[in-house]
Amino acid sequence: MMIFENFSAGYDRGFVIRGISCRLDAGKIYALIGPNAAGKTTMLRSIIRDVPLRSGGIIIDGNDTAYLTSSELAKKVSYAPSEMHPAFDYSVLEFVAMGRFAVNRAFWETEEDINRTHEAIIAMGLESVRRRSVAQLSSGQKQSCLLAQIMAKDTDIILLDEPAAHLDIAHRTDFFGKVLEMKNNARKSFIITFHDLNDALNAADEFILLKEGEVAAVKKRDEINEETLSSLYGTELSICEFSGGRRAVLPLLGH
Amino acid sequence: MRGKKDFMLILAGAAAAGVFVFFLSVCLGHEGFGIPEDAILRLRMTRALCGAAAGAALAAAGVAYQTVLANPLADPYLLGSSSGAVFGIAALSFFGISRAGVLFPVTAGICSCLTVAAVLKIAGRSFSKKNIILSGVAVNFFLSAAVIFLISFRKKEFFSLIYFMMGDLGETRMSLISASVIIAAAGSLFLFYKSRFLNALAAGKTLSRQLGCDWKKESLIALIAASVVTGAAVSVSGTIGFIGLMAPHIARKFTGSDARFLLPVSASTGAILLMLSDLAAKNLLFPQEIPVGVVTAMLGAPFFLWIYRK
Repeated sequence: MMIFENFSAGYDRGFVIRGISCRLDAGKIYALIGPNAAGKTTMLRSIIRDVPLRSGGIIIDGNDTAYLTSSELAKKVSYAPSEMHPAFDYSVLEFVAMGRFAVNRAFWETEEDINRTHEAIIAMGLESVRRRSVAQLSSGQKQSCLLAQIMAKDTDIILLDEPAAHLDIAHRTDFFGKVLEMKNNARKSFIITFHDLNDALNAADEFILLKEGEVAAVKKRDEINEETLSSLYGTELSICEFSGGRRAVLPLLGH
Repeated sequence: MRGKKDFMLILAGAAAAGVFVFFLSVCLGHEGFGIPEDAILRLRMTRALCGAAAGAALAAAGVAYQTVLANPLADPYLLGSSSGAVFGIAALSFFGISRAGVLFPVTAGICSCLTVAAVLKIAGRSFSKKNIILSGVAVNFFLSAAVIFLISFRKKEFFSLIYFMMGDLGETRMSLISASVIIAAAGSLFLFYKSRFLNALAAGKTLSRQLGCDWKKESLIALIAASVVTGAAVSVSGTIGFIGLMAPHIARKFTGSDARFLLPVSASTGAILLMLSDLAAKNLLFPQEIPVGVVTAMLGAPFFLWIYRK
Protein backbone atom coordinates (compact mmCIF):
# COMPACT_ATOMS: atom_id res chain seq x y z
CA MET A 1 0.00 0.00 0.00
CA MET A 2 2.73 2.42 0.91
CA ILE A 3 6.46 2.30 0.27
CA PHE A 4 8.91 4.68 1.91
CA GLU A 5 12.08 5.09 -0.13
CA ASN A 6 14.90 6.69 1.80
CA PHE A 7 12.35 9.26 2.92
CA SER A 8 13.47 12.37 4.86
CA ALA A 9 11.31 15.32 5.85
CA GLY A 10 11.19 18.18 8.34
CA TYR A 11 11.61 21.88 8.96
CA ASP A 12 15.03 23.47 9.46
CA ARG A 13 14.14 24.02 13.08
CA GLY A 14 12.00 21.34 14.70
CA PHE A 15 11.67 17.61 14.36
CA VAL A 16 13.14 15.86 11.38
CA ILE A 17 12.71 12.31 10.15
CA ARG A 18 15.56 10.77 8.23
CA GLY A 19 16.24 8.00 5.75
CA ILE A 20 13.08 5.96 6.21
CA SER A 21 12.79 2.92 3.99
CA CYS A 22 10.02 0.43 4.59
CA ARG A 23 7.04 -1.21 2.98
CA LEU A 24 3.59 -1.21 4.56
CA ASP A 25 0.82 -3.62 3.55
CA ALA A 26 -2.82 -2.81 2.89
CA GLY A 27 -5.56 -3.76 5.32
CA LYS A 28 -3.46 -3.60 8.45
CA ILE A 29 -3.19 -1.37 11.47
CA TYR A 30 0.33 -0.11 12.00
CA ALA A 31 1.20 1.33 15.38
CA LEU A 32 3.78 4.09 15.12
CA ILE A 33 5.52 4.08 18.48
CA GLY A 34 8.58 5.66 19.98
CA PRO A 35 9.66 7.97 22.78
CA ASN A 36 8.71 11.66 22.96
CA ALA A 37 10.39 13.76 20.27
CA ALA A 38 11.05 10.70 18.10
CA GLY A 39 9.20 12.43 15.26
CA LYS A 40 5.95 10.44 15.23
CA THR A 41 3.68 13.39 14.43
CA THR A 42 6.23 14.74 11.94
CA MET A 43 6.24 11.40 10.15
CA LEU A 44 2.44 11.29 9.86
CA ARG A 45 2.20 14.90 8.76
CA SER A 46 4.97 14.46 6.22
CA ILE A 47 2.93 11.74 4.52
CA ILE A 48 0.21 14.30 3.73
CA ARG A 49 2.95 16.80 2.74
CA ASP A 50 2.20 19.07 5.69
CA VAL A 51 5.93 18.96 6.50
CA PRO A 52 8.43 19.79 3.75
CA LEU A 53 10.11 16.88 1.98
CA ARG A 54 13.90 16.76 2.15
CA SER A 55 14.83 13.75 0.08
CA GLY A 56 13.54 10.38 -1.07
CA GLY A 57 9.84 9.79 -1.44
CA ILE A 58 6.72 7.82 -0.65
CA ILE A 59 5.04 5.60 -3.23
CA ILE A 60 1.30 5.01 -2.85
CA ASP A 61 -0.46 2.80 -5.43
CA GLY A 62 2.56 3.19 -7.69
CA ASN A 63 2.55 7.00 -7.52
CA ASP A 64 5.23 9.13 -5.93
CA THR A 65 3.18 11.36 -3.60
CA ALA A 66 5.40 14.37 -4.35
CA TYR A 67 3.92 14.50 -7.86
CA LEU A 68 0.25 14.16 -6.88
CA THR A 69 -1.93 17.27 -6.66
CA SER A 70 -3.32 18.18 -3.24
CA SER A 71 -6.69 16.83 -4.20
CA GLU A 72 -5.32 13.56 -5.63
CA LEU A 73 -3.34 12.98 -2.46
CA ALA A 74 -6.37 13.77 -0.27
CA LYS A 75 -8.34 11.09 -2.12
CA LYS A 76 -5.75 8.51 -1.12
CA VAL A 77 -4.76 9.49 2.42
CA SER A 78 -6.64 10.94 5.39
CA TYR A 79 -5.19 12.40 8.55
CA ALA A 80 -6.65 13.26 11.94
CA PRO A 81 -4.66 15.39 14.41
CA SER A 82 -4.62 14.49 18.10
CA GLU A 83 -6.57 17.56 19.01
CA MET A 84 -8.30 20.42 17.27
CA HIS A 85 -9.58 23.80 18.34
CA PRO A 86 -11.87 25.10 15.61
CA ALA A 87 -11.93 28.90 15.52
CA PHE A 88 -15.53 29.00 14.31
CA ASP A 89 -18.74 27.16 15.01
CA TYR A 90 -19.17 24.56 12.31
CA SER A 91 -21.88 22.03 13.10
CA VAL A 92 -20.99 18.34 13.21
CA LEU A 93 -23.01 17.89 10.04
CA GLU A 94 -21.07 20.63 8.23
CA PHE A 95 -17.77 19.36 9.56
CA VAL A 96 -18.31 15.75 8.46
CA ALA A 97 -19.67 16.91 5.09
CA MET A 98 -16.41 18.80 4.53
CA GLY A 99 -14.76 15.40 4.06
CA ARG A 100 -16.72 15.09 0.82
CA PHE A 101 -15.02 18.25 -0.47
CA ALA A 102 -11.95 16.09 -1.07
CA VAL A 103 -14.03 13.95 -3.44
CA ASN A 104 -16.42 16.45 -5.02
CA ARG A 105 -15.59 20.12 -5.26
CA ALA A 106 -18.84 21.31 -6.84
CA PHE A 107 -20.46 24.27 -5.10
CA TRP A 108 -23.29 22.17 -3.64
CA GLU A 109 -23.07 18.65 -2.25
CA THR A 110 -24.59 15.91 -4.37
CA GLU A 111 -27.12 13.38 -3.13
CA GLU A 112 -24.29 10.89 -2.70
CA ASP A 113 -22.27 13.37 -0.64
CA ILE A 114 -25.24 13.90 1.67
CA ASN A 115 -25.93 10.17 2.03
CA ARG A 116 -22.30 9.36 2.79
CA THR A 117 -22.21 12.13 5.36
CA HIS A 118 -25.27 10.80 7.16
CA GLU A 119 -23.95 7.24 7.06
CA ALA A 120 -20.67 8.35 8.62
CA ILE A 121 -22.48 10.33 11.32
CA ILE A 122 -24.63 7.34 12.20
CA ALA A 123 -21.67 4.93 12.13
CA MET A 124 -19.78 7.11 14.61
CA GLY A 125 -22.81 7.56 16.85
CA LEU A 126 -23.01 11.31 16.37
CA GLU A 127 -26.70 11.66 15.37
CA SER A 128 -27.70 13.23 18.67
CA VAL A 129 -25.10 16.01 18.36
CA ARG A 130 -25.20 16.54 14.63
CA ARG A 131 -26.47 20.11 14.91
CA ARG A 132 -24.09 21.08 17.71
CA SER A 133 -20.90 23.03 17.10
CA VAL A 134 -17.79 20.84 16.86
CA ALA A 135 -15.94 23.38 19.02
CA GLN A 136 -18.25 22.64 21.95
CA LEU A 137 -17.89 18.86 21.91
CA SER A 138 -15.80 16.72 24.26
CA SER A 139 -12.41 15.45 23.12
CA GLY A 140 -13.88 12.02 22.50
CA GLN A 141 -16.66 13.40 20.35
CA LYS A 142 -14.18 15.56 18.43
CA GLN A 143 -12.15 12.43 17.61
CA SER A 144 -15.35 10.74 16.47
CA CYS A 145 -16.10 13.74 14.24
CA LEU A 146 -12.65 13.51 12.70
CA LEU A 147 -13.07 9.80 12.05
CA ALA A 148 -16.56 10.42 10.64
CA GLN A 149 -15.14 13.05 8.28
CA ILE A 150 -12.53 10.51 7.17
CA MET A 151 -15.23 7.85 6.72
CA ALA A 152 -17.20 10.25 4.52
CA LYS A 153 -14.04 10.84 2.48
CA ASP A 154 -13.56 7.09 2.17
CA THR A 155 -9.79 6.90 1.56
CA ASP A 156 -7.91 3.61 1.74
CA ILE A 157 -5.18 4.94 3.99
CA ILE A 158 -5.93 6.61 7.31
CA LEU A 159 -3.40 8.28 9.60
CA LEU A 160 -4.43 8.96 13.20
CA ASP A 161 -2.23 10.99 15.51
CA GLU A 162 -2.73 9.85 19.10
CA PRO A 163 -6.47 9.58 18.73
CA ALA A 164 -6.86 8.29 22.29
CA ALA A 165 -4.75 10.96 23.98
CA HIS A 166 -7.68 12.59 25.78
CA LEU A 167 -10.14 9.70 25.95
CA ASP A 168 -11.07 7.70 29.05
CA ILE A 169 -10.80 3.92 28.94
CA ALA A 170 -14.40 3.34 27.83
CA HIS A 171 -14.27 5.88 25.02
CA ARG A 172 -10.89 4.51 24.01
CA THR A 173 -12.25 1.00 23.73
CA ASP A 174 -15.21 2.27 21.79
CA PHE A 175 -13.02 4.33 19.45
CA PHE A 176 -10.60 1.52 18.62
CA GLY A 177 -13.60 -0.78 18.15
CA LYS A 178 -14.73 1.49 15.33
CA VAL A 179 -11.22 1.52 13.88
CA LEU A 180 -11.08 -2.29 13.89
CA GLU A 181 -14.50 -2.39 12.24
CA MET A 182 -13.28 -0.09 9.46
CA LYS A 183 -10.22 -2.27 8.98
CA ASN A 184 -12.15 -5.55 8.91
CA ASN A 185 -15.24 -4.49 6.96
CA ALA A 186 -13.83 -1.90 4.57
CA ARG A 187 -10.21 -3.12 4.46
CA LYS A 188 -8.86 0.29 5.40
CA SER A 189 -5.18 0.62 6.33
CA PHE A 190 -4.17 2.61 9.36
CA ILE A 191 -1.03 4.17 10.73
CA ILE A 192 -1.74 5.25 14.29
CA THR A 193 0.59 6.86 16.79
CA PHE A 194 0.14 5.58 20.33
CA HIS A 195 1.28 6.87 23.66
CA ASP A 196 -0.33 4.01 25.50
CA LEU A 197 1.46 0.82 24.52
CA ASN A 198 -1.39 -1.31 25.88
CA ASP A 199 -3.76 0.22 23.34
CA ALA A 200 -1.17 -0.43 20.67
CA LEU A 201 -0.77 -4.08 21.68
CA ASN A 202 -4.55 -4.45 21.68
CA ALA A 203 -5.32 -2.85 18.36
CA ALA A 204 -2.31 -2.98 16.05
CA ASP A 205 -1.17 -5.72 13.68
CA GLU A 206 2.33 -4.38 13.20
CA PHE A 207 4.62 -1.88 14.88
CA ILE A 208 6.80 0.82 13.38
CA LEU A 209 9.49 1.62 15.93
CA LEU A 210 10.65 5.21 15.57
CA LYS A 211 13.68 6.53 17.38
CA GLU A 212 15.36 9.91 16.90
CA GLY A 213 13.69 10.43 13.55
CA GLU A 214 14.66 7.05 12.14
CA VAL A 215 12.74 3.82 11.80
CA ALA A 216 14.57 1.30 13.98
CA ALA A 217 12.44 -1.60 12.79
CA VAL A 218 9.02 -2.71 11.59
CA LYS A 219 7.84 -5.68 13.64
CA LYS A 220 4.80 -7.95 13.81
CA ARG A 221 2.79 -7.87 17.01
CA ASP A 222 4.19 -11.29 18.13
CA GLU A 223 7.74 -10.06 17.67
CA ILE A 224 7.26 -7.27 20.19
CA ASN A 225 8.92 -8.27 23.43
CA GLU A 226 10.27 -6.67 26.58
CA GLU A 227 13.66 -6.16 25.05
CA THR A 228 12.47 -4.29 21.92
CA LEU A 229 10.27 -1.96 23.94
CA SER A 230 12.83 -1.37 26.70
CA SER A 231 15.55 -0.47 24.26
CA LEU A 232 13.20 1.71 22.19
CA TYR A 233 12.13 3.78 25.17
CA GLY A 234 15.41 3.57 27.09
CA THR A 235 13.74 2.36 30.27
CA GLU A 236 13.03 -1.07 31.67
CA LEU A 237 9.59 -2.37 30.72
CA SER A 238 7.97 -5.68 31.43
CA ILE A 239 5.21 -7.40 29.49
CA CYS A 240 2.56 -9.43 31.31
CA GLU A 241 0.73 -12.19 29.46
CA PHE A 242 -2.92 -12.98 30.06
CA SER A 243 -5.00 -15.92 28.97
CA GLY A 244 -6.04 -15.63 25.32
CA GLY A 245 -2.66 -14.20 24.40
CA ARG A 246 -3.52 -10.66 25.45
CA ARG A 247 -0.60 -8.67 26.77
CA ALA A 248 0.01 -5.54 28.80
CA VAL A 249 3.10 -3.41 29.31
CA LEU A 250 4.18 -2.16 32.71
CA PRO A 251 7.11 0.09 33.61
CA LEU A 252 9.42 -1.02 36.40
CA LEU A 253 9.52 1.59 39.13
CA GLY A 254 12.49 1.40 41.49
CA HIS A 255 10.62 1.10 44.80
CA MET B 1 -28.22 19.62 5.48
CA ARG B 2 -29.03 22.97 3.92
CA GLY B 3 -28.96 23.17 0.16
CA LYS B 4 -29.87 25.40 -2.74
CA LYS B 5 -33.46 25.95 -1.60
CA ASP B 6 -32.50 27.28 1.84
CA PHE B 7 -29.83 29.34 0.16
CA MET B 8 -32.34 31.10 -2.10
CA LEU B 9 -34.59 31.84 0.88
CA ILE B 10 -31.74 33.20 2.99
CA LEU B 11 -30.44 35.24 0.08
CA ALA B 12 -33.88 36.71 -0.60
CA GLY B 13 -34.27 37.65 3.08
CA ALA B 14 -30.84 39.29 3.22
CA ALA B 15 -31.44 41.20 -0.01
CA ALA B 16 -34.88 42.39 1.14
CA ALA B 17 -33.43 43.71 4.40
CA GLY B 18 -30.68 45.50 2.46
CA VAL B 19 -33.16 47.10 0.05
CA PHE B 20 -35.35 48.19 2.96
CA VAL B 21 -32.47 49.97 4.71
CA PHE B 22 -31.38 51.52 1.40
CA PHE B 23 -34.89 52.93 1.01
CA LEU B 24 -34.80 54.13 4.60
CA SER B 25 -31.51 55.97 4.19
CA VAL B 26 -32.78 57.68 1.04
CA CYS B 27 -36.06 58.79 2.59
CA LEU B 28 -35.00 59.57 6.14
CA GLY B 29 -33.50 63.01 6.69
CA HIS B 30 -33.35 65.72 9.32
CA GLU B 31 -36.63 67.12 7.94
CA GLY B 32 -38.40 63.83 8.52
CA PHE B 33 -39.50 60.90 6.38
CA GLY B 34 -40.44 61.29 2.73
CA ILE B 35 -39.13 61.22 -0.81
CA PRO B 36 -36.85 64.26 -1.15
CA GLU B 37 -36.55 66.60 -4.13
CA ASP B 38 -34.48 65.50 -7.12
CA ALA B 39 -31.07 67.00 -6.29
CA ILE B 40 -31.13 65.70 -2.73
CA LEU B 41 -32.57 62.37 -3.85
CA ARG B 42 -29.63 61.90 -6.21
CA LEU B 43 -27.13 62.82 -3.52
CA ARG B 44 -28.71 60.52 -0.96
CA MET B 45 -28.91 57.64 -3.41
CA THR B 46 -25.24 58.01 -4.32
CA ARG B 47 -24.38 58.15 -0.67
CA ALA B 48 -26.48 55.10 0.21
CA LEU B 49 -24.94 53.25 -2.74
CA CYS B 50 -21.42 54.06 -1.51
CA GLY B 51 -22.40 52.95 1.99
CA ALA B 52 -24.01 49.73 0.84
CA ALA B 53 -21.12 48.84 -1.49
CA ALA B 54 -18.37 49.70 1.00
CA GLY B 55 -20.20 47.96 3.86
CA ALA B 56 -20.82 44.80 1.86
CA ALA B 57 -17.25 44.76 0.54
CA LEU B 58 -15.68 45.27 3.97
CA ALA B 59 -17.87 42.53 5.41
CA ALA B 60 -16.98 40.09 2.62
CA ALA B 61 -13.29 40.87 3.13
CA GLY B 62 -13.79 40.41 6.88
CA VAL B 63 -15.27 36.93 6.37
CA ALA B 64 -12.33 35.99 4.16
CA TYR B 65 -9.66 37.33 6.53
CA GLN B 66 -11.28 35.72 9.57
CA THR B 67 -11.73 32.39 7.85
CA VAL B 68 -8.33 32.13 6.21
CA LEU B 69 -6.42 33.21 9.32
CA ALA B 70 -8.79 31.16 11.54
CA ASN B 71 -8.94 34.33 13.63
CA PRO B 72 -12.29 35.74 14.82
CA LEU B 73 -10.64 39.14 15.46
CA ALA B 74 -9.38 39.71 11.93
CA ASP B 75 -10.91 42.59 10.01
CA PRO B 76 -9.66 44.83 7.16
CA TYR B 77 -9.13 47.70 9.59
CA LEU B 78 -7.34 45.83 12.38
CA LEU B 79 -5.18 43.94 9.89
CA GLY B 80 -3.85 47.21 8.46
CA SER B 81 -5.40 46.43 5.10
CA SER B 82 -7.49 49.65 5.11
CA SER B 83 -4.55 51.80 6.21
CA GLY B 84 -2.49 50.39 3.38
CA ALA B 85 -5.21 51.38 0.93
CA VAL B 86 -5.43 54.90 2.40
CA PHE B 87 -1.68 55.19 2.13
CA GLY B 88 -1.86 54.34 -1.58
CA ILE B 89 -4.56 56.96 -2.10
CA ALA B 90 -2.65 59.58 -0.12
CA ALA B 91 0.44 58.85 -2.20
CA LEU B 92 -1.52 59.43 -5.41
CA SER B 93 -2.90 62.69 -3.98
CA PHE B 94 0.64 63.64 -2.99
CA PHE B 95 1.62 63.46 -6.65
CA GLY B 96 -1.35 65.64 -7.48
CA ILE B 97 -3.42 62.99 -9.24
CA SER B 98 -7.11 63.80 -8.86
CA ARG B 99 -9.33 61.15 -7.32
CA ALA B 100 -11.14 59.64 -10.23
CA GLY B 101 -11.36 56.52 -12.34
CA VAL B 102 -9.95 53.08 -11.98
CA LEU B 103 -6.45 54.09 -10.87
CA PHE B 104 -7.47 54.75 -7.26
CA PRO B 105 -9.17 51.47 -6.37
CA VAL B 106 -6.41 49.53 -8.15
CA THR B 107 -3.60 51.34 -6.33
CA ALA B 108 -5.48 51.02 -3.07
CA GLY B 109 -5.92 47.29 -3.66
CA ILE B 110 -2.23 46.75 -4.39
CA CYS B 111 -1.15 48.73 -1.32
CA SER B 112 -3.64 46.82 0.78
CA CYS B 113 -2.20 43.47 -0.41
CA LEU B 114 1.34 44.61 0.38
CA THR B 115 0.33 45.81 3.84
CA VAL B 116 -1.38 42.53 4.73
CA ALA B 117 1.70 40.66 3.49
CA ALA B 118 3.90 42.83 5.72
CA VAL B 119 1.64 42.39 8.75
CA LEU B 120 1.62 38.60 8.36
CA LYS B 121 5.37 38.55 7.83
CA ILE B 122 5.91 40.54 11.03
CA ALA B 123 3.45 38.36 12.94
CA GLY B 124 5.56 35.30 12.11
CA ARG B 125 4.79 31.87 10.83
CA SER B 126 2.70 30.67 13.75
CA PHE B 127 -0.15 33.02 12.74
CA SER B 128 -1.15 33.35 16.38
CA LYS B 129 -4.26 35.41 17.00
CA LYS B 130 -2.60 38.04 19.15
CA ASN B 131 0.53 38.41 17.04
CA ILE B 132 -1.49 39.17 13.95
CA ILE B 133 -3.61 41.82 15.68
CA LEU B 134 -0.59 43.40 17.41
CA SER B 135 1.46 43.66 14.27
CA GLY B 136 -1.64 44.98 12.49
CA VAL B 137 -1.95 47.71 15.12
CA ALA B 138 1.72 48.64 14.82
CA VAL B 139 1.58 48.81 11.03
CA ASN B 140 -1.64 50.84 11.32
CA PHE B 141 0.08 53.44 13.52
CA PHE B 142 3.00 53.66 11.18
CA LEU B 143 0.91 54.03 8.04
CA SER B 144 -1.42 56.61 9.60
CA ALA B 145 1.59 58.69 10.52
CA ALA B 146 3.02 58.24 7.03
CA VAL B 147 -0.28 59.33 5.48
CA ILE B 148 -0.44 62.49 7.60
CA PHE B 149 3.16 63.21 6.73
CA LEU B 150 2.42 62.86 3.01
CA ILE B 151 -0.68 64.99 3.01
CA SER B 152 0.97 67.71 5.08
CA PHE B 153 2.65 68.69 1.82
CA ARG B 154 -0.69 69.43 0.21
CA LYS B 155 -2.28 72.14 2.31
CA LYS B 156 -5.26 72.58 -0.02
CA GLU B 157 -6.52 69.01 0.32
CA PHE B 158 -5.31 68.45 3.87
CA PHE B 159 -8.68 68.58 5.59
CA SER B 160 -10.57 66.61 3.00
CA LEU B 161 -7.97 63.86 3.29
CA ILE B 162 -8.03 63.91 7.10
CA TYR B 163 -11.78 63.56 6.83
CA PHE B 164 -11.27 60.71 4.37
CA MET B 165 -9.05 58.95 6.92
CA MET B 166 -11.92 59.03 9.38
CA GLY B 167 -14.37 57.51 6.91
CA ASP B 168 -16.51 59.59 4.60
CA LEU B 169 -19.33 58.52 2.31
CA GLY B 170 -19.65 61.89 0.58
CA GLU B 171 -17.96 60.67 -2.61
CA THR B 172 -19.76 61.93 -5.74
CA ARG B 173 -17.37 61.23 -8.64
CA MET B 174 -19.27 58.60 -10.60
CA SER B 175 -16.23 57.24 -12.46
CA LEU B 176 -14.51 56.47 -9.15
CA ILE B 177 -17.65 55.03 -7.61
CA SER B 178 -18.48 52.77 -10.53
CA ALA B 179 -14.91 51.49 -10.87
CA SER B 180 -14.75 50.73 -7.15
CA VAL B 181 -18.15 49.07 -7.02
CA ILE B 182 -17.31 46.84 -9.98
CA ILE B 183 -13.98 45.77 -8.47
CA ALA B 184 -15.52 45.20 -5.04
CA ALA B 185 -18.39 43.20 -6.50
CA ALA B 186 -16.11 41.09 -8.69
CA GLY B 187 -13.78 40.35 -5.77
CA SER B 188 -16.63 39.50 -3.41
CA LEU B 189 -18.27 37.21 -5.98
CA PHE B 190 -14.93 35.49 -6.48
CA LEU B 191 -14.64 34.90 -2.71
CA PHE B 192 -18.21 33.57 -2.71
CA TYR B 193 -17.32 31.21 -5.56
CA LYS B 194 -14.43 29.96 -3.38
CA SER B 195 -16.72 29.41 -0.37
CA ARG B 196 -16.00 25.72 0.05
CA PHE B 197 -12.28 26.39 -0.08
CA LEU B 198 -12.78 29.00 2.64
CA ASN B 199 -14.55 26.39 4.75
CA ALA B 200 -11.63 24.02 4.31
CA LEU B 201 -9.13 26.78 5.17
CA ALA B 202 -11.08 27.59 8.35
CA ALA B 203 -10.19 24.11 9.59
CA GLY B 204 -6.54 25.20 9.75
CA LYS B 205 -3.43 24.33 7.78
CA THR B 206 -3.14 20.62 8.51
CA LEU B 207 -6.82 19.72 8.30
CA SER B 208 -7.32 21.77 5.13
CA ARG B 209 -4.58 19.69 3.54
CA GLN B 210 -6.33 16.46 4.39
CA LEU B 211 -9.43 17.94 2.73
CA GLY B 212 -7.45 18.26 -0.48
CA CYS B 213 -7.05 22.01 -0.35
CA ASP B 214 -3.63 23.42 -1.22
CA TRP B 215 -3.37 25.59 1.89
CA LYS B 216 -0.61 27.91 0.75
CA LYS B 217 -2.06 28.60 -2.66
CA GLU B 218 -5.68 28.91 -1.59
CA SER B 219 -4.99 31.17 1.40
CA LEU B 220 -2.82 33.39 -0.77
CA ILE B 221 -5.60 33.69 -3.36
CA ALA B 222 -8.24 34.46 -0.73
CA LEU B 223 -6.05 37.03 1.06
CA ILE B 224 -5.30 38.82 -2.21
CA ALA B 225 -8.99 38.86 -3.18
CA ALA B 226 -9.97 40.18 0.27
CA SER B 227 -7.33 42.91 0.08
CA VAL B 228 -8.37 44.00 -3.41
CA VAL B 229 -11.97 44.19 -2.21
CA THR B 230 -10.86 46.24 0.80
CA GLY B 231 -8.91 48.61 -1.45
CA ALA B 232 -11.98 49.19 -3.61
CA ALA B 233 -14.15 49.84 -0.54
CA VAL B 234 -11.62 52.24 0.95
CA SER B 235 -11.32 54.28 -2.26
CA VAL B 236 -14.98 55.32 -2.02
CA SER B 237 -15.37 55.46 1.74
CA GLY B 238 -12.02 56.10 3.41
CA THR B 239 -11.08 54.15 6.54
CA ILE B 240 -14.18 52.69 8.09
CA GLY B 241 -13.26 50.34 10.88
CA PHE B 242 -14.98 47.35 12.46
CA ILE B 243 -17.67 46.76 9.81
CA GLY B 244 -15.61 43.79 8.61
CA LEU B 245 -15.44 42.56 12.19
CA MET B 246 -19.04 43.09 13.29
CA ALA B 247 -20.95 42.05 10.18
CA PRO B 248 -19.57 38.48 9.94
CA HIS B 249 -20.11 37.85 13.66
CA ILE B 250 -23.70 39.10 13.50
CA ALA B 251 -24.35 37.09 10.33
CA ARG B 252 -22.90 33.93 11.92
CA LYS B 253 -25.69 34.03 14.49
CA PHE B 254 -28.17 33.51 11.63
CA THR B 255 -26.28 31.30 9.20
CA GLY B 256 -23.57 29.45 11.07
CA SER B 257 -20.05 29.38 9.69
CA ASP B 258 -20.54 27.76 6.26
CA ALA B 259 -19.10 30.44 3.96
CA ARG B 260 -21.65 29.72 1.24
CA PHE B 261 -24.33 31.14 3.54
CA LEU B 262 -22.18 33.37 5.68
CA LEU B 263 -20.65 35.45 2.87
CA PRO B 264 -23.84 36.79 1.26
CA VAL B 265 -25.57 37.36 4.60
CA SER B 266 -22.47 39.13 5.98
CA ALA B 267 -22.32 41.34 2.92
CA SER B 268 -25.94 42.34 3.41
CA THR B 269 -25.35 42.87 7.16
CA GLY B 270 -22.28 45.01 6.42
CA ALA B 271 -24.23 47.12 3.94
CA ILE B 272 -27.06 47.60 6.45
CA LEU B 273 -24.69 48.42 9.31
CA LEU B 274 -22.83 51.03 7.31
CA MET B 275 -25.97 52.66 5.89
CA LEU B 276 -27.47 52.87 9.39
CA SER B 277 -24.21 54.21 10.86
CA ASP B 278 -24.18 56.84 8.14
CA LEU B 279 -27.76 57.82 8.91
CA ALA B 280 -26.68 58.38 12.50
CA ALA B 281 -23.53 60.23 11.40
CA LYS B 282 -25.56 62.62 9.22
CA ASN B 283 -28.44 63.29 11.57
CA LEU B 284 -27.23 62.95 15.15
CA LEU B 285 -25.64 66.42 15.37
CA PHE B 286 -27.37 68.01 12.38
CA PRO B 287 -26.28 70.25 10.67
CA GLN B 288 -22.83 69.16 11.82
CA GLU B 289 -21.86 65.83 10.23
CA ILE B 290 -19.80 63.25 12.14
CA PRO B 291 -17.32 61.15 10.10
CA VAL B 292 -19.04 57.78 9.74
CA GLY B 293 -15.84 55.98 10.80
CA VAL B 294 -16.29 57.55 14.22
CA VAL B 295 -19.75 56.01 14.55
CA THR B 296 -18.59 52.54 13.45
CA ALA B 297 -15.59 52.71 15.78
CA MET B 298 -17.81 53.62 18.72
CA LEU B 299 -19.91 50.54 18.00
CA GLY B 300 -17.02 48.36 16.89
CA ALA B 301 -14.46 48.84 19.63
CA PRO B 302 -16.73 47.45 22.40
CA PHE B 303 -17.73 44.68 19.99
CA PHE B 304 -14.05 43.86 19.48
CA LEU B 305 -13.55 43.57 23.24
CA TRP B 306 -16.59 41.33 23.52
CA ILE B 307 -15.25 38.95 20.84
CA TYR B 308 -11.78 39.13 22.35
CA ARG B 309 -13.01 38.05 25.78
CA LYS B 310 -15.23 35.28 24.47
